Amino acid sequence: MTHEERRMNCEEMAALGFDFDREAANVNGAERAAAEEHVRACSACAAQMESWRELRGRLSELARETQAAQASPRVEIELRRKVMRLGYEHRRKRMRTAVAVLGLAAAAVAAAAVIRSRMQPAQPLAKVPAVEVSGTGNTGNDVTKQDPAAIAAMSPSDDSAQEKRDRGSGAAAVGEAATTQGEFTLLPGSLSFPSDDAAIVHVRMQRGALGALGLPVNEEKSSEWILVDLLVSTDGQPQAIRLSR
Amino acid sequence: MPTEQNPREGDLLRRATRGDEEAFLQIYRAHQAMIYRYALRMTGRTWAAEEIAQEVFLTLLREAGRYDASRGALGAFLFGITRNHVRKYLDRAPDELPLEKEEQISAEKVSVTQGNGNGASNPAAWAEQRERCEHLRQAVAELPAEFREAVVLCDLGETSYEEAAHLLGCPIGTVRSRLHRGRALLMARMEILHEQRRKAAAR
Repeated sequence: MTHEERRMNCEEMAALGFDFDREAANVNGAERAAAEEHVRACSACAAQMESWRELRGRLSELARETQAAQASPRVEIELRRKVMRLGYEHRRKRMRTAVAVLGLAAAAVAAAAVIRSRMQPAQPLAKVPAVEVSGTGNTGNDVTKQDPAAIAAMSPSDDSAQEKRDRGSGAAAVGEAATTQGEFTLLPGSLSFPSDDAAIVHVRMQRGALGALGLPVNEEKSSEWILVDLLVSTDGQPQAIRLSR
Repeated sequence: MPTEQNPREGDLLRRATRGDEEAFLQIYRAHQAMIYRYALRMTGRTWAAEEIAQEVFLTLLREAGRYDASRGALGAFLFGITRNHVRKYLDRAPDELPLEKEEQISAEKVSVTQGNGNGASNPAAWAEQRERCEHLRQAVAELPAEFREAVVLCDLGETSYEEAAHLLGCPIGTVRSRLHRGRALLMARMEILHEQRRKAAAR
């Protein structure tokens, strides 16, 4: 590079900046040399250069004055409070999500159980031992070993039950029959004996509770404890009753 | 001005947005001074600088998803947010009626080195220096925003022209040009150039 090529005019000098001697200005060696030469030769630029040096000194004073400045602790406290609130909201959101997931899982399990129960072939009643249902002994006739259809067919034709139904005394007759040991009697509102997959449930109850099943109750004996077998259909509703002991 | 890129910053930020106070404090303490100083030098007001610093971190927490560690350091991302908030402040500042005529930087904010470390050896010199600083601060505050940004970053801060160009999103030549014009305006307001020419003529 020749001496002529490195010569700089006032406009180029202004474009380069008067702080060409600073490392931060990112000026290369050739440009710096040309700028220095121009400042030596040009009085106007030399005056500007002096002015810049004075301004730089004052700017440094101002920079020093604020170089240790920091936000007050109030800002940090305020922001920490905000972050704590964020944490609380985050935990609450996670809790809500967990509850929702658990709820969905429970619903899925319940749905699967219902679908499975519907898809399974109906179990014959004889395969369901009465003792498993209630855990109490079956002291009456062992109807669980009989075909429920047979029970249904047999019971209405049973002489005593039929006779009592024929009496036409409605609920009173049924209540009477219910206390008759060994025979199932339809509960009021039941149309027929359940078939196939009905279950027998042994229940120890006070005689007064028969009222809840729609049977008449002798008030004098209402506190007496009795054991009954309930013939329960697949919808969970008792359809027939007999005195177990 | 920009801080070193820290690979952990993305992780810290994620934890902070989930309410991890410790992670947030690490980010805050690493960057708050840079943000506060820039805002203070741009606005000339301590309360405005504090408000901006707080808003910057709230924005960070709100919009943490926008930060991509692979694209740059968190410091540069924070500087972008700070710059936006400063601009918003400057845009609405003329409409605000200040309670005080001009708030000065409070004594506790001033560097402890000023009393003897700045060359002011006696109270008179110190007072003169304070007056000069105040005069210059006002002159800087009156510069157009784009010139002021360049002066604040390169002359008041320790940012190189290259870094400033990166932070401001413009070519290095633009930074030079803004600095040149900003300095010329400062010199005119401070009557430095006029004084220098007078001195030169007297010689």
